[in-house]
Amino acid sequence: MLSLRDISISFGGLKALTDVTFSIDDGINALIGPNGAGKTTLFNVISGFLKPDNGTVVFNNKDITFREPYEIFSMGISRTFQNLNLIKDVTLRENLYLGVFEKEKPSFLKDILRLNKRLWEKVNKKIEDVMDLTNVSKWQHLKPDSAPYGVLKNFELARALISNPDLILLDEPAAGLNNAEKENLGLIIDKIAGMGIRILMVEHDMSFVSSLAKYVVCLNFGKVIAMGTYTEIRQNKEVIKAYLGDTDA
Amino acid sequence: MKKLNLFYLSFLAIVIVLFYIFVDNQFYKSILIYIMINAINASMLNILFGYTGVISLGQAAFYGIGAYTTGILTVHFGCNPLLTILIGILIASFVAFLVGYPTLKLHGHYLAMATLGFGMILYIFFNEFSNYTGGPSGLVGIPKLSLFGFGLDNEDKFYVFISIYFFIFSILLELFDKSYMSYKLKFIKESEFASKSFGVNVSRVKLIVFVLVAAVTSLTGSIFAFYSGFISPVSFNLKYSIDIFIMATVGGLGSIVGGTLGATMLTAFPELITNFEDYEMIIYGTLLLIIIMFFPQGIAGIFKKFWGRYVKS
Repeated sequence: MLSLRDISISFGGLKALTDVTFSIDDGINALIGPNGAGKTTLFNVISGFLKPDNGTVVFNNKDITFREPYEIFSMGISRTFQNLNLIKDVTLRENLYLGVFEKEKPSFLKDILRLNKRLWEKVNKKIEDVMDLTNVSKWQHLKPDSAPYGVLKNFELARALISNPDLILLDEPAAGLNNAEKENLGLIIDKIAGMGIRILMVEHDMSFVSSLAKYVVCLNFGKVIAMGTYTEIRQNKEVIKAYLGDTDA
Repeated sequence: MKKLNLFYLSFLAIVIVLFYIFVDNQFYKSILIYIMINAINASMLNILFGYTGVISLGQAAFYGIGAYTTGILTVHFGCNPLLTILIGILIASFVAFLVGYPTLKLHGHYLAMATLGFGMILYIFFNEFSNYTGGPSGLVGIPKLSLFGFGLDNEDKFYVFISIYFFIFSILLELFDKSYMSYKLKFIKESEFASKSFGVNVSRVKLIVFVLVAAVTSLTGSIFAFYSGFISPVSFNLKYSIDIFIMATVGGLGSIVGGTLGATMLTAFPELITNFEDYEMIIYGTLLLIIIMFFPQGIAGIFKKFWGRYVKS
């Protein structure tokens, strides 16, 4: 599915990632680690925004290491962002166009001459479905500036989901959410995984990770220090030392 | 799919027709012709900057390429006028590709400087290549355009021609505004990062838009050359690039009517205040300042607010 082998990348003299190697397959997977461990950098390598100095990224048996982000999206990887990245000038519903239209690749002339009514119907149906799944329908006509933070997070998830990806990268999906919103988000992520879509999430909230992730990779200073189930990870001495501390989070 | 704004298109058509029927004064007709030419140029810049976020201070150069291609090929080589328009479009598109390919990787001030530099180079070229361009004195004797044996040899005929061109242009613009493509450009403008993440080949789209805008601007330049019969580098200098930039900004960036509103106001306004010639620049400058400071979405934004508050409620 997704396989990273010996990924290394430096920014000037700073080694952000060193020989990162792991694979993920079905279900929900988590990437954890203290701040500055290299988690978002790794997401940017997987999604094509950063090119590694060394190593390979293989997705569905294809080498995507040096592919451009738009190519990687078309191969089935979509993502959310650590800082919300919704388009403020349009409504939340219209934000979902970005996720779905690029997958459908409408013809320019048909689009301009309004000859793709069927495509619009298909897009609108997809939008309704994905908004129902993520419980955001009632906010759809607001612009991002006017909606609550938790709703915006769900819209980002909806936008990542609407292209029917094989893998969604979630960058700190629970950050800034209250307990009720986290619970709701957890249920949505579980549903998405149940649809056969693989999830790799970066998350700091260990209770959120433990309730969802079947496989966890822990990074520290750009290196993989442990991987396994959450139970295995929480017992790993290096992880306890680097990140979790002596008690449960 | 959004509904087309048929009210706006009908309003445009009525104004154009009424003006033709009731205004005999050739001077006013020539002002309206210039308004339509500027509206097309400002609207194209609006697509480039207002929608896509690509700032260009070199649009006058593409306008000049169209005008000079037509001028040189008709005056010196006696080419078919329609062919010269086509050649102008091809040259402008090719030059836009050459300029856009490296420079569109830049953003903000850097891109503005690069396009400004390109505009300056073309301006110097129009001045110095005087064997063909006529240099600073300009190029005279450009024949009037003739379409299918119908010569556009007076103000009235040209008014009809430019009105048809402008109206077709406005319909296409409205279709564009209600298409997914207009969303795509807005997505690129606000977040290239998000756009790339969701499958948009940002560099390619920006380059295509840059080339298309240059092509239409060149076409308008050719038409301008046929209309005026005389062209000189002054019509294609930095001031004109800035003029259409201001028209798009004052009219309303990112709004499809912005270019037309801005061009109407800023082309007609100097003519309307000629009686106050001594204070012209002060009045003009104050007005611009007020709009930019208090109405950042331009005149289109004011109309939109009014429409939302009083008409829809």
